[in-house]
Amino acid sequence: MLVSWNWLSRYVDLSMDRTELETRLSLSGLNHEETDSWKDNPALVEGDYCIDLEVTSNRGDCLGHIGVAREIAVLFDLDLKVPDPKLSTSATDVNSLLKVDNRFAEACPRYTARVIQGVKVGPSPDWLVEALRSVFWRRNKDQKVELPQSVNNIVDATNYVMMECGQPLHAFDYAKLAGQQIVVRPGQPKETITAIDHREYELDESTCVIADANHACAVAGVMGGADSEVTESTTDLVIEAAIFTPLFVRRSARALKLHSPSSYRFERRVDPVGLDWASRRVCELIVDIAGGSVAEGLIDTAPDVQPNPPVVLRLSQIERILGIKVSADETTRILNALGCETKIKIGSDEGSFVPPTWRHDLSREADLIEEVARVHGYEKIPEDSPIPVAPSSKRPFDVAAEKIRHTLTASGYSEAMTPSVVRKVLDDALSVWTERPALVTQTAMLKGAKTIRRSLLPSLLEARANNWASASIEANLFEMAHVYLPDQAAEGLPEEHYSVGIVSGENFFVVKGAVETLCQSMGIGQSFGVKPKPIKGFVEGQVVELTLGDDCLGYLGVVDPKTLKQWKLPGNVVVCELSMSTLMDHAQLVPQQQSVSMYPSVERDLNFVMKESVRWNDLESIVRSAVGDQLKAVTYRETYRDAERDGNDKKRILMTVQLQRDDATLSGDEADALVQAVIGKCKSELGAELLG
Amino acid sequence: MLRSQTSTVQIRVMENKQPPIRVISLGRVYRPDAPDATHFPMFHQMEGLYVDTNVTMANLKTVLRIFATNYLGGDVEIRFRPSFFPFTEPSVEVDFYWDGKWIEFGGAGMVDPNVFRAVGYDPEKVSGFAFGLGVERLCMRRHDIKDIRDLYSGDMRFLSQF
Repeated sequence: MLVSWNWLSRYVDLSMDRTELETRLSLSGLNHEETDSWKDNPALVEGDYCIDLEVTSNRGDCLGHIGVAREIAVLFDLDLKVPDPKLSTSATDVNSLLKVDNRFAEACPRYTARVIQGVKVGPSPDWLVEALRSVFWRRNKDQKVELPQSVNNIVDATNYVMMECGQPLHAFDYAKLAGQQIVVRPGQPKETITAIDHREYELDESTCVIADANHACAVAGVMGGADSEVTESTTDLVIEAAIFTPLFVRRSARALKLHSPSSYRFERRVDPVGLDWASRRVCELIVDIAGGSVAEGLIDTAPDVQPNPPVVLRLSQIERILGIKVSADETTRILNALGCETKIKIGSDEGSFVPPTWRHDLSREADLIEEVARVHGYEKIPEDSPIPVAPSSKRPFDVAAEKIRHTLTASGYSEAMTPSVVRKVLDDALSVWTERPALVTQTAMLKGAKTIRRSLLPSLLEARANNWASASIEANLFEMAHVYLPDQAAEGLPEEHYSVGIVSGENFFVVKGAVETLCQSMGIGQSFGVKPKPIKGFVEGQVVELTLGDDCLGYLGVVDPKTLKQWKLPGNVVVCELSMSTLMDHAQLVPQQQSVSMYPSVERDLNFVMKESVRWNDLESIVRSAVGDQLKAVTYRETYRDAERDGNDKKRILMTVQLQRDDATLSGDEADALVQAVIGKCKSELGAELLG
Repeated sequence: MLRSQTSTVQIRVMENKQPPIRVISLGRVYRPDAPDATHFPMFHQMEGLYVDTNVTMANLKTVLRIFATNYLGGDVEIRFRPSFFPFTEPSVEVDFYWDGKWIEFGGAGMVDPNVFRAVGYDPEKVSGFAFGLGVERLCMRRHDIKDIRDLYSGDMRFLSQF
């Protein structure tokens, strides 16, 4: 809401410092955004300032200068001077000139009309043009100030009064209203209206329209129609001051994409009593600047406005909520100045107040307490009241996340955080957990991004690609976040899983090693299983499912260069995505001591030749099962291939086994027997031959 | 799923427990904001709720002041400014001062009596406060990060600084 310093000074004495005023307004609920000075802004006359205040949606009463002036008057304990419009009316009865028929009270609880005859439409006086210019200017994209166009003295007067008190008003050309009547009704199917912006809009039954005997003349509370607009040739006017319900106005403004200062105010509710003041005020102003005479009387569809019910306020309750005492005098002064009438004076504790009709947000004791608090000042509430708090400890999830973070950063990965909603083409690139199509949002979160991701890997690949494109950095990244796996039933909620995603430029085995280290750091005793599994987007034969027991731990593989093409990513890229819940299920987050044998251990190197298809984890588990407890470690050393000596499709694997007893020294013979058991089992199970 | 705030956590706790209640809920939230230097459609929120027999706004201010002093530093100016939220009354926004401007980093207030009634508490017997702080804004202030979008870029030149 833009307010002009000069304009405000018509209602309240502004002798205080301007920046002090701005701060006080911020600290009492009208947050100060910025101020334009006449020195820099051509929309302002010499000495004027335009102050931008943020008005929250509950404070429609502050969408006019008088409302803001009232706040200032309350804050600085000053008098508020509200003009008292005086109308001298003609002998003609308004009811003989116009009929109003309200057939849509749900959308329009009160409609009032006055008629002014014999006006002379023309340019507005300078003071009016200047006033409107001071609050209707706009800053365009190049930061240049665009000045509003003055329409004519009639339309300008309605806009002036709207910016004065917050009540939107509309002037119709009386001669153009067919049948000299106004009908408030729902729009009809296929009905259209040409608005004053000279564009055509289609109406429907949910729109409230202001019509004459034949057709729609205005979209209620949103915009007037071109047919009945005030022009140079207009002599007689109908002045509309009405209440339109927020829901209907918002719906129409949204459907027609026509958001106006008027719809903005109706959506935040207007003063049901104040609208008559606004009607009289604009008539007085029009007669003043355009001549004419106001017909006697007012057409009013709902003249009986119920006052707000009184609200009980207890001083003890103020203290209970705010933690400070506020005196009965100060409380009463604040509430009275805000327009709340004292119904029952505050006695030892309790009083009651009738909130003003322009304050729709005051109906309960809590609302009045807030009024007292914000005007009295939150800075007066002390900050010396600590609360009793109980000590707490980290959840297992947070402990696990910390361990993962620690291990992966120590392995040279950087933690990234990428948006959960991505472009479809990105999400389609790699999906390890599911082949069901991803869920989409109705509105894009970022440009073109509507797909709720099923995997972290595409986002991480994109981050790696961006690093490469912007600074030729080969980014090794990881992220911990939710992925969203669509339910089998189309309408079902997706499963939300925490995943750990890794993208790396190192080779497959290095990344696999990092995952092994990760599992060890989480106290996962067993080593994970590896199963080949073809997945779209990976190099064939170079992607595996990782398992812990019967659970799927995740997927690890080399990304197909064709997949990488969409990011123009060069080189070899290995990715891995792990399920946090599987990691958690198998983790031992608080390490437990394992006893250490006090007897010496024996190490033996074993060199086997075997088929190319034998996997290390099968070999390892067979070695372990052959020995049992006395095997303390089995360590991979290297792989060697020699087709001439061993034949095609064969490889040699060198490993070291460490043997030890917990209860005595292991003798050479015992060690030999254990090694023989290993050799025997490797031969019988895997066809592996020991080399001499 | 793509929630706009984490307040549902508070309601669930209140529905299942009697006061006193102290809850902190943290999470990723989503808003239809156009991205710029201080806005991003995805960010993180830290909400707190305290309900007991004698909770006042002085407690709320104390807790937020202690937090700001410890996280941002004792020399950081903060202020409480009235605002409007449907679930608190009175409501405030909390700003810190940075680079010549007040930057909002959270909303807070005394729990609205209607919220208590809705979960079966008697607002005459208990009172409480709630707050929701923007984790990114705080992190930006602490580390002098000028553009919120850097946090989600995955750019190594940014990440490697932390």
